[in-house]
Amino acid sequence: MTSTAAHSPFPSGRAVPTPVTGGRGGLLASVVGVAVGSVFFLFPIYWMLVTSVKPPSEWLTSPPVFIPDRLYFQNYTDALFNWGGLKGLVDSGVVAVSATAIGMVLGTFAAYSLARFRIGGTNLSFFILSLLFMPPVAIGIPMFLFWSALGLVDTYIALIVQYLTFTIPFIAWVMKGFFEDLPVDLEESALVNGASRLRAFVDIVLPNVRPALVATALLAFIFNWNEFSIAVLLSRGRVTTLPFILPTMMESHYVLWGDIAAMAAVGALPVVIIAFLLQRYLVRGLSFGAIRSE
Amino acid sequence: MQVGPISRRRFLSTSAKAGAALAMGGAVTTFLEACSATPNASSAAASASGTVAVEIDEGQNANPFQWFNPNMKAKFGATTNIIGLPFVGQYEKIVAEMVTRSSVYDVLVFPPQMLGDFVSNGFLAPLSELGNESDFNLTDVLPAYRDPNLRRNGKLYAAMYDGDILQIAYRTDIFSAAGISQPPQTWDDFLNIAKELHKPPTQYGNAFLAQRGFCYAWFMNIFAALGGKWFTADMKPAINTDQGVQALQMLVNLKQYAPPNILQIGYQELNEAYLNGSTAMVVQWDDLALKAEDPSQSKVVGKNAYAPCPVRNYMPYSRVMAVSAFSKNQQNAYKVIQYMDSADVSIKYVYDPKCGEDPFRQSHLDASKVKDHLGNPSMPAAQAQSYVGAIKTCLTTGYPELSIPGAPRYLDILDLFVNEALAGSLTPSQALTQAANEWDSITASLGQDNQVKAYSDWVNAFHAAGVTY
Amino acid sequence: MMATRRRPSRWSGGRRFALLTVAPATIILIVLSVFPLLYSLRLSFTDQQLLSLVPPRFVGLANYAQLLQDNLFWSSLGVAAAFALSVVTVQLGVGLALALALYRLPRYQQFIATLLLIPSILSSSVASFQWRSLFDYSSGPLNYFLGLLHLPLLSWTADPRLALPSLLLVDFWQWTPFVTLLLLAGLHALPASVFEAARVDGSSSWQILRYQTLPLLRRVIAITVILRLIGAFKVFDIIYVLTAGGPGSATESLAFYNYVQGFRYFSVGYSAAMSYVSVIIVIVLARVILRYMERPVGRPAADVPVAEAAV
Repeated sequence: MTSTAAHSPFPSGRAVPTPVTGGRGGLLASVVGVAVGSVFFLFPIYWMLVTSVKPPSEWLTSPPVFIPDRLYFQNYTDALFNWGGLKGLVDSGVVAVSATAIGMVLGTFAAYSLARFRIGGTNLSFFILSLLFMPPVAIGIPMFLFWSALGLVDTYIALIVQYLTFTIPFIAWVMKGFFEDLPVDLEESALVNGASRLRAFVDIVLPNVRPALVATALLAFIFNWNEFSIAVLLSRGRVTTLPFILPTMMESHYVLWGDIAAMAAVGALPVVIIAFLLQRYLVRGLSFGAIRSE
Repeated sequence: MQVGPISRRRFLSTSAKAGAALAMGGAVTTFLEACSATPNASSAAASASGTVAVEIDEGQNANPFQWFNPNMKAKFGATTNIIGLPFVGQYEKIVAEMVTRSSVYDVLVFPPQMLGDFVSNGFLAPLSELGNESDFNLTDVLPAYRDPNLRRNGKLYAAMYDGDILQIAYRTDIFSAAGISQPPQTWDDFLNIAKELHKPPTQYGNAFLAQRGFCYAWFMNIFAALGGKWFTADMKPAINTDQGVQALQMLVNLKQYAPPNILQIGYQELNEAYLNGSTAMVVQWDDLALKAEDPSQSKVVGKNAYAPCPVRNYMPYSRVMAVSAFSKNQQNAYKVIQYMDSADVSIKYVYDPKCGEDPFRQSHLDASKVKDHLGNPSMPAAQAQSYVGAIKTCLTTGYPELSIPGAPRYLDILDLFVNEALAGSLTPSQALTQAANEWDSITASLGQDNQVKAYSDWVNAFHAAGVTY
Repeated sequence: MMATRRRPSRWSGGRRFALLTVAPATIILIVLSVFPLLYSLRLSFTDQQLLSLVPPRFVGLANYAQLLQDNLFWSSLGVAAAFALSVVTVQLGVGLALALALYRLPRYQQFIATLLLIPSILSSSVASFQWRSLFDYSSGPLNYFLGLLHLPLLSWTADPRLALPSLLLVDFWQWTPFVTLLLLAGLHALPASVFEAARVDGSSSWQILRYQTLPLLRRVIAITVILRLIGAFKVFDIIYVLTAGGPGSATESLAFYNYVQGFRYFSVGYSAAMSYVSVIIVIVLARVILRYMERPVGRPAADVPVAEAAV
C-alpha cells in the first residue's frame, strides 16, 4: 500500500466518480441537500454573532430580532473586561498551547514506539485508546483530591498536566496510524549509515509526517481549548479558561444573552481562524485520525 | 520481538509503584484528613491581609460588596475581592473546596439550607467567638430569619444578607374588571381566580416556577398552608401524606391556567410572564415588586398590588454571610460581615433593583424607605405601601426552608419528584412516595440519630423565635 | 502491507529506545488515570459520604447491589442508551447523505466542509448556550419559525416528551458535520475504479451504495460509530446547561446522574460504583466494535486490498 498520508483526501479539480447518486437528478438533490444542511448548521452560528451585537432590550423580544438596527459592541467590552474574557483568552491560550506542545512531544515518541516496536503489544495500545473514552466524571473525585493534596488546584500546572490524560492518548492514537503507514526503508537506510535511532527519528521520520503532525497538533489544540469538565473541577478564580467562565455568566436573576454570545464568539474566534488557515490539514487529520485505528 | 512479556510487566509494575506513591499517598491523606476535619480556629491569628475573599454566586448579588468597598477601606482598611461561583452548582463548589480545608475563601455567602452541612462539617468559624454578638443588632433582624438561619448549637455562625419570601403579585386592573375585590385567601380560592382570569392566548390566569431547580418551593408553599411539615419528630418523611398529595395536586391543577410553556418557566421567565402583562397573578420572590414598578423593565407599572400567599408563605433560599473556618484573614472577614449586615448599610441595598437582595430587618420595613433608597423612585406610594405591607404579613406567616445537615440533598430530591409530577410522568402520590423513600435513605446515610437531633433543634429554634412551625 | 509494517526482528536493537520513548507518556497516564481509577474502585466498596459524620465502612459489593435496585440508575441508563442509539443512527444516516452530496460537488468542497465543521469545533458549553436561546418559548427563533408556518409552538426542553429529542437536536447539530467529514474522507479514499466497473455492469446507484460503497466504508463507519457512541455516552455539558436532567428525570443520563450522586450529594462511594459500571460499559462497547472492525471483510479476497486502501 502506498503512503496515504502523503496526499490530500480531497483531489480537487478532477472529475469525481459518483458512488451513489447518478445523473442530473442526483446532482440537484446534492446541491439542495448541502444548501439545506448549510442553513441548518450555520444559522445558530449566525444567531450567536447577531445576539452578540444586540443591546439588552433586544435579547428577549418576541418576535426575535434577526437583524439589529445598529451594532452594539458593549457586549464585547463587557465580556472582555467585566467578565474576564481577556484573561480567559490568555489562560485558555497558555493551557491549550502548553498541553498541546507537551502532548505532541510525549505522544509522538510513544506513538512511534508503539507503531515500530509494538511495545506493550496490543494491550498497551488498547489501554491508551480506552483512556480517550473514559468519562471524566469517573475519576473526578480522586483527581480533585490529588491536585489539592499537592496544593495545585486552580493553577496552570494542574490543568496542563490533567489535560495530558486525553491529549497524549489522542496524539498517540492518531500518530501511530501515520507511523504505521510510513515505509520502514527510510529509517533502515539511515540506521545502516550509522545514525542513532533518535537521529533517524528526528531527521528522517518526522519530516516525512510533517503534515500529520500539524493536523494532529491542531486537533489536540481544539480539544484543549474547548475542554470544560476538568476545568470546572480544577479551576476556581485564578486560572479561568473561557469554557469555564461561560456558565458563571448564568446568574441567579438574569441570563445575559448578549454578553454570553459575545464571550462565546470570543472563544470561538481563535479556533475558527486556525481551522480555516489550516483547513487542508484539519480535514486530513480528522479523517486519518479516525480511519486509522488499532 | 525483544520486548518480552517479562520486561514489560516489570516496567509497568515499576511505574505503577512510582505512581501509587504519588497518587494514593497524597490523595488518601487529604481525604482522611478532610473527613475528620475539625474547625481550625487558630489560623485566625495568621496573616491578616487587606483583601477579603468573598465567595458568592456570580452576578448582581455580588454588587453591594463592590459598592461599599471604598467605605470599608476607609472604615477598617480592608476591601473585598469577589470570587463568583455559578448560581447552579454553588453548593458543590463550596463543599469541594472546603473538604480540602482550603483557605481560598474568607467570607462565604450562601443560602441557609447549607448551614446545617457547613456547621456540622466544621467549615465555619462561629461569629460569637471571633467577636461579639451584639455587633449584629440581632433584635432588629426579623425573627423568622434570625435564629434558625443564623445560629447552631447556641453559637452565632452567620449574619443575614438577603431575606427571601414568596408573595403574590396581582394585577389590580384585571381583578377589578372581573369584579374580584380581594386577593385569594385560600388555595381553592386561588385556583378559582386563576381559572376565571385565564383567557389564553392573551391572558393567563396564573404562573409559577415549574422548572427543575426550585419548583419544590412552590409545592411547599401550598403544602405549608395545608399544615404540612417536613418530617415527623422521629425523622419519618411527612410529605407523602394526604396534605402533601393534595398540595401537589393543586400545583398540577394550576398548570391548566398557566402559560403553555409553564414547565420552561424559571425565575427569569416567571418575572417576564408577569412584567410583560400577560399573566393576571403570580407567586414569586418578593423582589418582583421592585421590577414591576420599574418602567425600564415593566409594562405594568402602577397596576399591581402585593399580597401574602394563602395562610402561609414559604421562605425559599435567602442568603447569609459567614466566616470560613480555614480563612487566614478571619478578623477582617468578620468586619466585612458586620459592616454589610448593619442596619445603616443594608437599607441601602435591600431596595435597590440593581442587586437582588431583599429586606431582612424590622428597620427595613418602612414604606418611605423603599422610595428613599430605591434606584427607581418611580414606585408609586400605593404600591410601596402594598409591597412592604405584604412583606410584613408574609413574615409573620413565613414557613421555614429546611436547613438541617443534608438539606440541599433533601430539597433536590423533592424538587426532582415535584418536577416529575408537574411533567406528568408520575402522579402526585407516586412522586411523593418515591421522594419519601429517597429521603429515608438520605437520613440513614447521614445517621438517623444525628438527624433526629438536628431536626428537633431546628424546630425548637423556630418555636423559640415565635415562628409557627 | 502487513509485511512492510511489522518486522520486529530488525528492530530488536531499539528496545531501549522504545522503552525510553514510551515511558514518559505511559507513566503520566498511569499516575493520572489508572491510580484515580484504582482509588475509585476502593471507594466503590465503601459507603463513604463526603459530608456525613458517620465514619465510612467497608460494604463490599453493597453499592453495586443497590445500583440494581435504584430506579433512577435504571432510568438514567435508559436515557443514556436511548440517547446514544439515536445519536449514532441519525447522525450516521444524515452524515452519510451529506457526505455523498458533498462528494458530488468537488468545487469549494473543502471550504464548505470546513464551514460546516464550525459547530464541531465549538466548545459544547458554547453550543448549549446558543441552543438555550434558540429554544426559548416566546423569544426564540425556533418557535418564531413554527409560528410563521402556523404550527403549534413547542416548549422544547421543558416538554417531557420533547426534552430528550431537543437535546438530540443539539448534539445532532454539533456532531453531524464531524461525522459527515469523516465519511467524506472515507469516500475519497475509495478507488474510483470500483464504481466505474460497477457502472459498466449497469448496477443502479442504490446497488452501488448498498453493495460497493457501504461495505468498503465499513472501517470508517465503525470508527465513527465508536466515536459518537462514546461521545454520546459521556454527554454532560448540554444536559447541565439546557435541562439539568429535567423535566423530572426525563433527560438525566448516566453521566449526569453519576455527577449528581458524586458531586451534588457527595455520596462518593456510591458514585464510584456507578463510575465503574459506566467505565466497563464503555470499554466493552469499544472492544466489541473494534473487534468487529478488525475482522476481515466477509467478501471475496479481491476486495481485501480495496478495504485496506481505505485505511
